[in-house]
Amino acid sequence: MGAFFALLIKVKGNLSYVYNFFVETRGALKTAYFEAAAEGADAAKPYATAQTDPEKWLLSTTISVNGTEVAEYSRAEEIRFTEEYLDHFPKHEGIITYRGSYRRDVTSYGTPALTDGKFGATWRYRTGRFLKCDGVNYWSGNGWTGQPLAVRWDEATKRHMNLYPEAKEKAGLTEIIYPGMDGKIHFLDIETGEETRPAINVGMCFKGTCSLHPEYPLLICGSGDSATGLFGEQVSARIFIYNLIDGKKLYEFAADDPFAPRLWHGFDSSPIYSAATDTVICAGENGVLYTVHLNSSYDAENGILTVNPDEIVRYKYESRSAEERFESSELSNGSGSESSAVVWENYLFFGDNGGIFQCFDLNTMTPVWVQDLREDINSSPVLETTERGEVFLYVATTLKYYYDEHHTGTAVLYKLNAKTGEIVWQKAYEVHTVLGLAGGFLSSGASGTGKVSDYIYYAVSKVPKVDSSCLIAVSKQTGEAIWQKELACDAWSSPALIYAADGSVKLCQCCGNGDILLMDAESGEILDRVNFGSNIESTPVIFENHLAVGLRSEYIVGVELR
Amino acid sequence: MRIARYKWISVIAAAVLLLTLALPWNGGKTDMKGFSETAELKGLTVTGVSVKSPDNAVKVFLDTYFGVDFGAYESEKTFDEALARLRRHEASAMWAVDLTADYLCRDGEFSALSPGETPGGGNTRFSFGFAFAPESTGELAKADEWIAKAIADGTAGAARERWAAGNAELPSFSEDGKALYIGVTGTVPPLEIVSPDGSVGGAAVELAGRFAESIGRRPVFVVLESETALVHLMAGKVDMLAAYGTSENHSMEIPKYRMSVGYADVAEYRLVVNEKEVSGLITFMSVIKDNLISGGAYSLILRAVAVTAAITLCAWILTMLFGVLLGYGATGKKRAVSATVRGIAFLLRSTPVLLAMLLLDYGVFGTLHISSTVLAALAVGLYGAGTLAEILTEDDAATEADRTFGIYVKTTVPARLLGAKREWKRLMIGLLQWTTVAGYIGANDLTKVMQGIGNRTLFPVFSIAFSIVLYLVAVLITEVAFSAIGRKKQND
Repeated sequence: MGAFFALLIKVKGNLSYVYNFFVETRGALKTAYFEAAAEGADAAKPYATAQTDPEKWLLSTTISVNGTEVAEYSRAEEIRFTEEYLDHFPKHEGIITYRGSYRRDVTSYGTPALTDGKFGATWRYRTGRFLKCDGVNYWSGNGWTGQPLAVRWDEATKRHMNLYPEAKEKAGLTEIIYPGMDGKIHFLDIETGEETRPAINVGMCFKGTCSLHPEYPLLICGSGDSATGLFGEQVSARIFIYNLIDGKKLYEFAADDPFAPRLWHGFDSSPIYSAATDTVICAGENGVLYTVHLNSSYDAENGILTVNPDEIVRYKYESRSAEERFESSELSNGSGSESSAVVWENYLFFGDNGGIFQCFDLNTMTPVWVQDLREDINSSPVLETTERGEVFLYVATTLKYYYDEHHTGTAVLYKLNAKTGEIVWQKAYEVHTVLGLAGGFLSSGASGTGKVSDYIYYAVSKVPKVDSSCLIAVSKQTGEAIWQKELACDAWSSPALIYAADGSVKLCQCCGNGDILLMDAESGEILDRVNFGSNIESTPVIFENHLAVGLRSEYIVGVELR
Repeated sequence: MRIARYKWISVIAAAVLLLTLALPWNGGKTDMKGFSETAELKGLTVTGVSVKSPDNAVKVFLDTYFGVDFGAYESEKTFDEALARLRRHEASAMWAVDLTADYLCRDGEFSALSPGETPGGGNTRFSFGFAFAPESTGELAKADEWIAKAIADGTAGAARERWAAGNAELPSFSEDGKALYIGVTGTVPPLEIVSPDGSVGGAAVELAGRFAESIGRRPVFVVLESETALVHLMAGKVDMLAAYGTSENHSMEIPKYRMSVGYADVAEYRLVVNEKEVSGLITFMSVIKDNLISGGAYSLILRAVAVTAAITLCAWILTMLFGVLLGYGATGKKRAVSATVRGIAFLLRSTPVLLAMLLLDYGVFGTLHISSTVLAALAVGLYGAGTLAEILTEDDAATEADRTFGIYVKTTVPARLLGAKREWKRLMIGLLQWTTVAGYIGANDLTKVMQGIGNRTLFPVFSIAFSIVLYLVAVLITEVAFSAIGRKKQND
């Protein structure tokens, strides 16, 4: 009887999940390759094919400028992210957005010695928790993508900041900036874990990754859930802009947006700044894509930073598949974006919870092509530009809609032609989806360069067992696995590549059992392991030879890489 | 009337001891200080009225909202009880919404601390409106329309101002029309106020009453606890709540209850702190005066004694009538019948009295608006009946197969009861003691009223001690009655 109740607790009262706890999936399935789909990847600009025509997948699109719907839009000052800009981004030293760049392909900063290939000293810093909107449960520590930023400020900027004296005095200070599920933005020294300045108590939980302006000490972070209160009120999630000179809030927007097709307001996506046009681009889980002209100014001499947003352009769409797939109810209809977008030239590439992946013209606020990937897109895309001028995207899905009676099905890694949206290859994995948690690709890819330039790395959740995962290195050319390592626990955290001074490439993977693994990226051999005792969902930041990441058990931890 | 001497002496000694020890000789806590910033409350205890979220969740909310790690959060069932804790300095602060904080701070006894910057800071965080059960869509639509009009023509604003000033009175409402039961919790003065005598007031109550009149209904106000107000609404015990929080919903779940538009906006929560010191040594007479005389306390107590007596007597009558019936059925010829009756009797005496009371209140009679005094008497009486049936059937009555009900009542029952006089007396005294939980379903019995007086006067121990003495006297009276019955039978 006791064993039965223990099983019932494990499957959260749903006996149909018992199957998943005793049966393994097939794991990796055959790769499907479509050679012709790569054609046109070197075209001058994106265009739709018959398969990716927006009208095939979208019922309608709507644009609003400063609250008024318009039939069409043309940006006064055109946005353009050139290859040269993306190659030399940002002005700050460090990791200032999710995966370090707007291609989402920079997973560490610097070239550490790593002579031992081992972990060294560690530190811990206590965080906290935040009440969920059900008024009973709470968010704790750091999770979801939850990647910290790491910045080595220049001395001129540091001088103006509200840092503690010892932090201000420290030469070469590298500061972690970390909004967390406890509703605060923490500021720590990546080497020691000591506070560098007082935390900002924002009052809403954060589970995505924030972004720092490429040139100014200006932070944008989107909260991941509504806040509640003692009378059951729902305080809408929103996007905040903070001044990192004095820690003051400069602006907030996107709360209770009547334009949004979804009631759910969450902003986990890491924003993108076009510094040249002073515009920030934020995709929301409420189904709205925002571009905001910040009208910002920074007097570096005196440390005065202001914003005065004067144009907010919103875009939403209705997909043909939403009713079939998504939470269609009297409250809400539509999909939103949980992953972070990528950019190339004036085009934004982003996916949503309903499987719709778009190439979007930021200067006209219209979709260029649309591809239906059929499943929830939680993993952020990775953009690759080859030497031949071809542009590709790596996008992966989780199993949310099309699972069978045993709660298993396929989650897929796609290589897309970024110019046409056509599928070049797709690699499927048979995964479990149970207990309200989807299996598949929750992590984002780590795109290799140098010795591992043909590899892209992912962690695949709930395969082959319901409580295990696989770390995979996949060939960018063929989609075949080069190596695969089964982990005895779940893994949501995205793998991070470290390029050592000796030319070797290491890989760091954070795991659901509290392990952080240091591996040889070429062979998959585990070189070292350190355990922090609790679930690490978040993606780490790696700055030179220091790593920092948040745990769900209400700690931020740091590790030296030796 | 002969009662053992030790019983009289015990009661008198207990009365003297309790009432003496209950006096606040030390004048209350002396280690108080004022607070000018929320950060100074780090590690200290915060209190407040119980809400739907459990205390540990409320603490998480308060810690993050105010940006302070409080030592503990301990809620109280009513607003007055929480305020009493603050007054006695048993908590360093009490949370309140801004309009309640303003109301409490109006005469200088308290001050309020605001949080730092909050999301949407300065704007409306949420509003108070009327809450309706899901099936009340008609009333909800009318409420939305009425509130919008009340805001536009200044009625809502005027009511809020009047009650915020602290000297308003509830107008009389029409007695015509079908009753509209309106739940009032007293959680957010001056929107809702519940006085120690159970009467209600407040801007929300006034607006709810006027709304009821506007739709041709007669407002009937029902005092509820904050923690269970929504449960009562969903169970149909009330048709609406006068004040509940409303805001945009982003949780992807449709709340089971329906909210009207708001009539009073809240921008923030605050922490109310006590500016007043507890006074020093209090004389015995001033304790008597404050707890038993001032503010109509004597009238409240007398009414509460009457309610307790009514519940007890009704419970005794039900115990005797139904218990005898159960006893007769349990010893009947037909095994199936007697087994069933024994089963029923077993269930009645085994079910905890408080749970039975709650079941009757929420479930069985939830929508019938039956007086809580009656429900309490019913619950206690049914328990008593089950226990009495056991007393009456102790000797299995197989030899009485041919008896009639008349013989059973006239002969068997008196004989059994006299033979088990001690158990019978303990049962009746036990039933009297069980009435002390009647307050859980809203009956204004002696325990509940004395507790309320104690919270108001800040001397809860004295009022509790006084209640104990009254109950001991009631027990003695019961003992006297049983002694008289015994002597009469002896003489017969």
